[in-house]
Amino acid sequence: MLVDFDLIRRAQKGDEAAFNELVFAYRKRILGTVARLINRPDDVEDVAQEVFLRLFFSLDQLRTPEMFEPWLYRLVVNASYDYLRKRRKRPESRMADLSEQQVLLADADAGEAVDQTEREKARIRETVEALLKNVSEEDRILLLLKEVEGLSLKELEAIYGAKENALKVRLFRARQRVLKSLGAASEGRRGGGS
Amino acid sequence: MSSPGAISGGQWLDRLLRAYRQACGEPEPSPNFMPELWARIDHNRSSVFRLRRVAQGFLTAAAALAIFLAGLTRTSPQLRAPEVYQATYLDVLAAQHVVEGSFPGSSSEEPSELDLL
Repeated sequence: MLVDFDLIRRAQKGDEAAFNELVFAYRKRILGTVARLINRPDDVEDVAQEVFLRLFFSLDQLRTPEMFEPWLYRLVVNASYDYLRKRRKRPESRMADLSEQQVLLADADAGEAVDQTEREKARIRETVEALLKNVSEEDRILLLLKEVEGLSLKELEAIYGAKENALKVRLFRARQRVLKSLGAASEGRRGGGS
Repeated sequence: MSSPGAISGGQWLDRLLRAYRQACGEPEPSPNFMPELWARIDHNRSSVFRLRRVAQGFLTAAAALAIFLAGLTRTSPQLRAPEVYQATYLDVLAAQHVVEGSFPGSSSEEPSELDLL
C-alpha cells in the first residue's frame, strides 16, 4: 500500500485534500499500468483521469480500506476495457495507429540517432505487443496484470471477483497461446531464413 | 536477451515480460493532470447536482399533485365514490338473496310446449 488506511477513510468521508493525496500517491503507478493496458500513449492521461474520476464518485461504496488497491485496479481494468471497446468502434487512420515506439523506430530508420539501449527497449516493447495481439483483450489485460504489473492471484481474485482456479486456467491458456504464436513466429523466421 | 531456443519457452516469456516492464518505465504525469482531473470532477459533480435537483422537482410536483387530487376528491361530491361501491360484500349477498327469493317459482314460469305451439 502506498498510503495509510486513515487517508483512505478521510477521502471516503469527502475530504478533498485527502483525495488529492491519494491521487498524488497512485497516479504514476496508474499511468504506467494504463499505458501498458491500452498501449496508446496519447490517451493514457485521459484514461487515468477517468479512473480517478470513477474513484472519486465510488469511494464511499468501498467497505474496508484494506480493499482499496484491488478496488482501484478494478477501476483501471474497467476504464481500460471501456476505452478499448470505444476504440474498436471507431477505427482511426493508419498513421494514428502507429504507436510511439513504431514512430521512434521509423525515425531511427530514417537516420536519426537513437541510442542503443532505447533501440533495444523499443524492440522488446514491439515484440511483446506483437505477441500479445494473439490473445483476446481480456486475456491480454489479465496476463499483463499478473506477469508485468506483478499482481498476485489473490489480488486478481479480488479485482475480477473470480475464483483463483478459474484465473489460473485463463492465465495458463493465455500463456499457451502466446507461446504458440512465439513458436509460429520463430518457425516462420527459420523458414524464411533457409 | 537470450533467444527462445536457449531456454524453455515459458522461462523466455517470463524474462521477456520482465524486460517489457523495464522497457516501458513509468510515464510522468503532465503538469495539467491534477487541474484537469479536478475540472472533470467538478463538471460531473455539477451534472449530478443538476440531475438531483430535477429529480427533486419532479418528486415535489408529484407530491403536490397527489395532495391536490386527494383534497379534490374529499371536497367535491361529484368525485366521491357512488353509494353502490360503498356496500359491503354481505350487503351485496343479502340483496341478491332477496332478488332470488322474490321469484321462487321461476322454473315453473318457463313456457310449456303447448304455449310454444
